[in-house]
Amino acid sequence: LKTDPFEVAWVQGSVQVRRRRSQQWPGERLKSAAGTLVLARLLDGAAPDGASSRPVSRAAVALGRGAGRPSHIAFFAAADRAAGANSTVAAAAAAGRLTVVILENPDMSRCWRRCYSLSQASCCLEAFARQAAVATNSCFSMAADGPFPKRLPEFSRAVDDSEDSDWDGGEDQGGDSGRLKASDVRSCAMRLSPAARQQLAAGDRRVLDCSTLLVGVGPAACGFLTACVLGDDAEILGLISCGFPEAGLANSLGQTALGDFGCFLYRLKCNPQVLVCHAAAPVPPADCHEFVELLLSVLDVESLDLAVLGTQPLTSFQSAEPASSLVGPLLRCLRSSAMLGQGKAAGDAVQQLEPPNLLTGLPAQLLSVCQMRRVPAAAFVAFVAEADCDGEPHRLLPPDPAAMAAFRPALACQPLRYCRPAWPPNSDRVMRLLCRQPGANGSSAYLYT
Amino acid sequence: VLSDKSIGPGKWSDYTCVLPSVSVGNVGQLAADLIISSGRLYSVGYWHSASLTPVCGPGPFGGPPCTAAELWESEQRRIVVLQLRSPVLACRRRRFLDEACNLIAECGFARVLLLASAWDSSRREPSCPSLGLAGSPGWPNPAPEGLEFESLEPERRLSGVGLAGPLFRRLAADSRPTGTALACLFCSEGDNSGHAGQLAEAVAAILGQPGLAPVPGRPLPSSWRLLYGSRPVEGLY
Repeated sequence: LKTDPFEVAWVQGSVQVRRRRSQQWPGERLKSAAGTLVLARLLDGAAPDGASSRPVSRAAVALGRGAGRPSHIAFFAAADRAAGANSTVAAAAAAGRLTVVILENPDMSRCWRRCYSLSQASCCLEAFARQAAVATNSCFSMAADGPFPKRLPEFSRAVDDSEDSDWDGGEDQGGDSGRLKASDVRSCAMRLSPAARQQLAAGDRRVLDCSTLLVGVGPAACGFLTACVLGDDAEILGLISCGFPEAGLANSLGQTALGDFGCFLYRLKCNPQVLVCHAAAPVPPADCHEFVELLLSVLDVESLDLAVLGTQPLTSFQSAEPASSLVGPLLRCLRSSAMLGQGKAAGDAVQQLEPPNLLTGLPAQLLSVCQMRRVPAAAFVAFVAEADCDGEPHRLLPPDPAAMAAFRPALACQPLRYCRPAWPPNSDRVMRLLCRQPGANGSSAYLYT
Repeated sequence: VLSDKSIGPGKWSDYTCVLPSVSVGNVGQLAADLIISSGRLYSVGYWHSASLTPVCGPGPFGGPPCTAAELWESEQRRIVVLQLRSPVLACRRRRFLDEACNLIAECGFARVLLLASAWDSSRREPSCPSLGLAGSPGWPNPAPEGLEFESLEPERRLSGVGLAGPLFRRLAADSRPTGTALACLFCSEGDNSGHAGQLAEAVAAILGQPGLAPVPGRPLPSSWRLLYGSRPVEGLY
């Protein structure tokens, strides 16, 4: 094998390859040895009709994963893929220092135009271009077949280049809306009912009577709590609004339409120690901290049990099985140490959340605070089809019944079990939930937005 | 900082704080996990910050649930690892720097070692070592004898290091901690578990703690199990 100062090993050959339409690869497949799998896609696309692509793809994957130095990738194309490509790759790998293996392919330049996500490829092309300037063998003729591919921007799953290259350490520039100065202006506000304010003023500790707090995040979770726990006999204690700090005030308690984006706090009249918070409106990650601080500021955290229900996309659920084989919805539970320590999780019917899955957003913030402050808490997260998740602010559709029903096993767990939920839920109540339209309180405000 | 243990002023006055940055391939954070596992550090508390993206999940070492920022300590080794498990909110970078500097000052750490990774293409020469080190005036020579590294200028802007660069410059200019160093590994995105091991070995050498280096055969954190996704469907080939 020839080598050069860039530690690139060149293997020369001359083959003819015809193009065929390549397969479509799921996005998540690109996570593992990202460059290598996309590379295999290119190769499959270049395979002649009838040729088996398995040996080449497997070799590429194995090479990418086992090379130990993913700063470069291997790419090759051959007519006789089963024999020629594998033997070549094996020989190069045996050298122990393989970075790039190239076989001549006059169509390769056209292949590279579709390679839009490989930072490693750009490094290879740079090295390749340097060699092309001095080499005389036919292996480099493909560079002259068409316009040379331009350098691809580097892509990272962890950092955005604009964060560190453009930021000069100056002041923070606004929140998620781009209008706010997050460090100066509160982005959440709470408004309480007169009865709630009276109760706060009456007590020594200025807290509401509450032993159990249930929080629903997203339309499906809120619909479930409404149908099975809240019922028709609930008192509005207050609401929390996010994203409207200019006025410094939350919406009024009468703004109950879907489009008003208020997160209401209810008390069950049949069980006054239970409070239910509906966070149906999306709470941006930047506002989660303040939202939770506001919510817990009016409660006695030391004597509180908390449950938060939320949804996440099924495609984000990581397991040993391929994502295509997952059948949703899936319900998982994550409990704080305090709840586990008090034995409240014994005999629970919901499977624990397996690593490396994580909670995000408001459920994550709630459980994190409970973990830190030693509050018995449980987060029930349903992995559902993406369309049913707590989505963009302008999504005003009613919740999906299947997504709502996914939370049913949580009724047998603490602290929901303590609230004596109703199952099956009242059918009229469910129908009202599913048929609810924006502006259902009679206002036609959306005509003017 | 929220902790079961009492963390008063001077509690960690002769400790070294290891603080990873969210950077290319999450190498710093992965290396911190290896250090926690190899050095047998134990959880002592959480850092409650509004500047970090909220996350919560099963404990990566089988213990209590993890949060966005955790503190791990080894009294024997005089080391504290402030592990970050989520990125800084884009609108709160300055606030994060302020909070981090205040936290380090309040805890009274003697030294701070920042872990990060940068794009491979930002190396000056391909022949340069993959490890870069920078030291503040209070810690000018963090590298021990025999460690191959590229000396980084404090004012050099590296691409892909996240907030490690601004944080290093900020800490280097402060009077506390006494010394600050930045260990940066040049790499590309992909399976970066090997890079994490390399960086963890470098940290062990810098701190003179061979026990912090990854031990072959030791189980990896459970959070690494599907770090790069599940296995591909066989039928795709």
